[in-house]
Amino acid sequence: MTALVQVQDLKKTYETGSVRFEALRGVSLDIAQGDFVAIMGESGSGKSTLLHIVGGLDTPTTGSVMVGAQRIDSMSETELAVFRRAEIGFVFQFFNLVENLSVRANVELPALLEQGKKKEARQRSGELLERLGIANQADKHPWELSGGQQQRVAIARAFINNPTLLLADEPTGNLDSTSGDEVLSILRDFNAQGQTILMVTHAASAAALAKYVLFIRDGLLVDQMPGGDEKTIAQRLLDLR
Amino acid sequence: MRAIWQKIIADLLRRRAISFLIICTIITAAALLTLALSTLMNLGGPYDKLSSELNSAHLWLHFTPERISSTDISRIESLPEVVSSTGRQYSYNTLVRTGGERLGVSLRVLNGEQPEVHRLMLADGRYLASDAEEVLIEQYPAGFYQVSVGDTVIITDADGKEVELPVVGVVFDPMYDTYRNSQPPYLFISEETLRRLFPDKDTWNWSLGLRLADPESVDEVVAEIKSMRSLEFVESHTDWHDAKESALFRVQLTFIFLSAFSLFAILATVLIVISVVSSTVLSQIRQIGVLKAIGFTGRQISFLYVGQYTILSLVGTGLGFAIGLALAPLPLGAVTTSLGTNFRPPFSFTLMALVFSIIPGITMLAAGIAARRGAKANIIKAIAVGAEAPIRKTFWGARLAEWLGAPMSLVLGLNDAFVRPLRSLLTGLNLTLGVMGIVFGLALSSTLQTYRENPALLGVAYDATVIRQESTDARAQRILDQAPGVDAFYGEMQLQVQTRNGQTFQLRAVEGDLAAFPFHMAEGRFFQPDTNEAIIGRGLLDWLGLQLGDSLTLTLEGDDRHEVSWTIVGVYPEPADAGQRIMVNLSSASGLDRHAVPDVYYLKLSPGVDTVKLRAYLEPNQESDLSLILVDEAIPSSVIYLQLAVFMLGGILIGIAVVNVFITSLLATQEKLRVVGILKTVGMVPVQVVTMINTAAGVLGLLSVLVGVPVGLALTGGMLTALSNAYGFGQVSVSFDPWAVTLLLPLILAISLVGSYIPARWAAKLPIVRVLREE
Repeated sequence: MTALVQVQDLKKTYETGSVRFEALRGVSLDIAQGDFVAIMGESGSGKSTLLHIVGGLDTPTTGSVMVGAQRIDSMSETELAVFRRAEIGFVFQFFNLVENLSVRANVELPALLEQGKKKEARQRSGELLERLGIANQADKHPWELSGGQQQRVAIARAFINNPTLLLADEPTGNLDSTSGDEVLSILRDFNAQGQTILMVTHAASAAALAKYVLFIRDGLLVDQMPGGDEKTIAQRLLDLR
Repeated sequence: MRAIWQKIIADLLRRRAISFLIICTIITAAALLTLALSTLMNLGGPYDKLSSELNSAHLWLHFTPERISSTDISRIESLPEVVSSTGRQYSYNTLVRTGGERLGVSLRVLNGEQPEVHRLMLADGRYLASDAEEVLIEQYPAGFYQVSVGDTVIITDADGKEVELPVVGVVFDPMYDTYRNSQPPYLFISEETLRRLFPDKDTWNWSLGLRLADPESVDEVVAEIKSMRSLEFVESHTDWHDAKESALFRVQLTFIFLSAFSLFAILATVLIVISVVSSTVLSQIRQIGVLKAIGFTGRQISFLYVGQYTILSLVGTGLGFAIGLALAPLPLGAVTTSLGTNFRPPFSFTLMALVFSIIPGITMLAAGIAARRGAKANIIKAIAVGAEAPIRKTFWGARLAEWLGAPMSLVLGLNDAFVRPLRSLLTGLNLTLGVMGIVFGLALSSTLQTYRENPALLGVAYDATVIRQESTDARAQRILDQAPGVDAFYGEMQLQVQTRNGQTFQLRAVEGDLAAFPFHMAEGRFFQPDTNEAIIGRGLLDWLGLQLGDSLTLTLEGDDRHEVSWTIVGVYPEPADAGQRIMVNLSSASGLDRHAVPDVYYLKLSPGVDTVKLRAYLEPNQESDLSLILVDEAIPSSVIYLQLAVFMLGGILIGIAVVNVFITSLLATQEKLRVVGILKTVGMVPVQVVTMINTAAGVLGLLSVLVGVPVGLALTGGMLTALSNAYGFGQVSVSFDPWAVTLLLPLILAISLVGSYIPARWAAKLPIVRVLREE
């Protein structure tokens, strides 16, 4: 089966003045359609950089990234924006909602950046808000919602354009455990319906929901294991330190 | 304290581009303020400078020759208030011909090139050669009658022989006074020449010019001189105040526009400094939050920002003051040109103190208030949000735009325009000032054009005047009745009148085909024929404290035997004597002077009339005593320089507005990097980012046009009317071409887009990851 995401020998080097930092030093991986992959590693290990490059938020120094049939490492700024809009859904630790737009407007935003999709966007946002249990909050603003509710809004926004790939960066990092469990449960439900998810997390409990877990250290993938057992994942993470 | 100073210097150096732009804005504001204040403080400067340089007399006494003796002159010169004297001066009133026109003139004796007291300023040509038969002419009549060096004047001497004298120079006499009296043109000749022309010295007039220890004591000195003898020997006197008024009245319109220009510049300066400083301080709330977090008190934060902006302000004010001083002669150029002199406003400590108080003072106040406001912000929110807490609800206009199906980038830009109302207000205010500057310029230009095209608005309702000398009124009217190209005419006799309170001025007693002339009435209506109704100049109305419908009782000056009362039924734009004249039916004025008949006639000419043919008809030979004077331009060409100055002001304000839009767009973009990052993450393409940021600035530009045009028009109208009332001219009807708005709108939108384009491009290219990582 052809992989949905193909990453080949990905390297990313940051240079600030005379300081040079290799965030990724040659990462290769394949993610199949419908996979739920978690990436774990310590702070500064390169996991978020990998997520950003796969999502077209950043460009690699060398190496290639294919998402579906599109090679994104050589795309222009505008092509990348259109790619992100159509193919990628993002969920962040700090929700990243636009404060002065209503919940519904936040959800519809990626769809409305493309002209002529207003009616479709309104229907889709209604369905998503209903499904995520926040339909009654549609006219409120993000600052009127709890953290858990805001993350649900972010998830609804991520799914508005039916993305090929959902990228989640510490989606439970800013939530209490109950809200965090609810968010993970939502992600698992979407995955169960065929949504491909790549998630970066520190939490073994979150990684345990994935089909498999990748471990990254100093910019290299150093291990991988199936998801499911939270304790084993936590122990493996400790072993890698 | 040392830490604060280090932080002040570090901030100024770190934000070099913004510091530079703020200094540029303050330099411009300080230069404008210096220019405006210097202009207002020196409106009378060119005259005062000339008067001082020429050691002018403060008081001229004109005597009845047969009643004055040399002893009287000596007694007057020895009065304690008199510092120096011109000595006895001779003059002779007669008729001359020049350039086809016949004029009644005062031939004044000028002995030596430059007397000790009351010298004349040579504007063109040279002084009189000793005893040569030649003449100098005062520059105001020279301009009015278009006489220049090289022309000749023909004088009929006491024997009836015509003597031709060449004009060798044009001079400015600081005491040539046409204010509230009708002074004949001054010609200067040597005593020897006057003796050859009119040998009988008993027919000569005597006058005496005095310089006083206290120039303000003219009235007291005149009273003292008049009380010296029971027999009245002072026929009239000329006060330097009146002469100054007279000289300045000739540039009245220039003064009105110049004063309006200066007041507008001062207003603009103050608002610019407030808006730029406040908005830049308010954009640094995140930094204020960080400073509070590490222990800065509110007072220390205020000191930090006040210190920063005071340094910028002092540097900018110093440079701006120097530039303003260098440019200060320019606005007064129209006045100095008109007086035939050059004048550089002197360095003044008062001016410097004003500029250095106003600009840094406003800067400190604006920075202090904004910093205090910032220091009150919640630390966590200040650091997290990075700006004053924005309005967190969607702007209704954005919702409407979305409902109407506008592109999302436009909707978001519209929403952003009002997300921080105070900053939007300040930026909008700055743009509005730019719009008002342009509207001010356009309205002035359009108004001047209207007045140029319709001199009746200035009180010049005629095309030409004819002055008669020896001919009777009946003969003059017969000739005018048959003159080719004369559609209508009316006659006028001017009478020197006074009120019961002793206020003297000139009365225009008119008769003839008045209905044919387009008299413009500022208020009320024209008087009915054969009634005791009168129309009055605004200056006189205000001076006498009258209103429409009031009654005014007058006598001839110096003769209170006969009184006549008139009812004021209208206000007209009186072009002479600061509006301090009145116009009545000649028939009603016969109560004052039974022999009053017109000696001046105002003509309405047919379109395209052959003026050469008309002149030939009215002045067929040298003996003819009718003189035709065609109306010159009603508005002096020097006013055009003022229009240029006003447009320059508009341009400067627009330049400042561009800088302000740039600064505020840059700061606003810096503040909302997180939002830009989010939007780019979810798929906003670079052109949409540019559109969004441009839209926010464009909306403010649009609003500034909507607000700036009516406010600018109201301000222009208000200023012009107030000033022209102050100068006695009366209501000025401001005109403005509505089509200008259609040009103004794209111009201001373009300015908004230009100012916000660089920050928008910068935001569009911003790496998303850096923004999200910095969060």
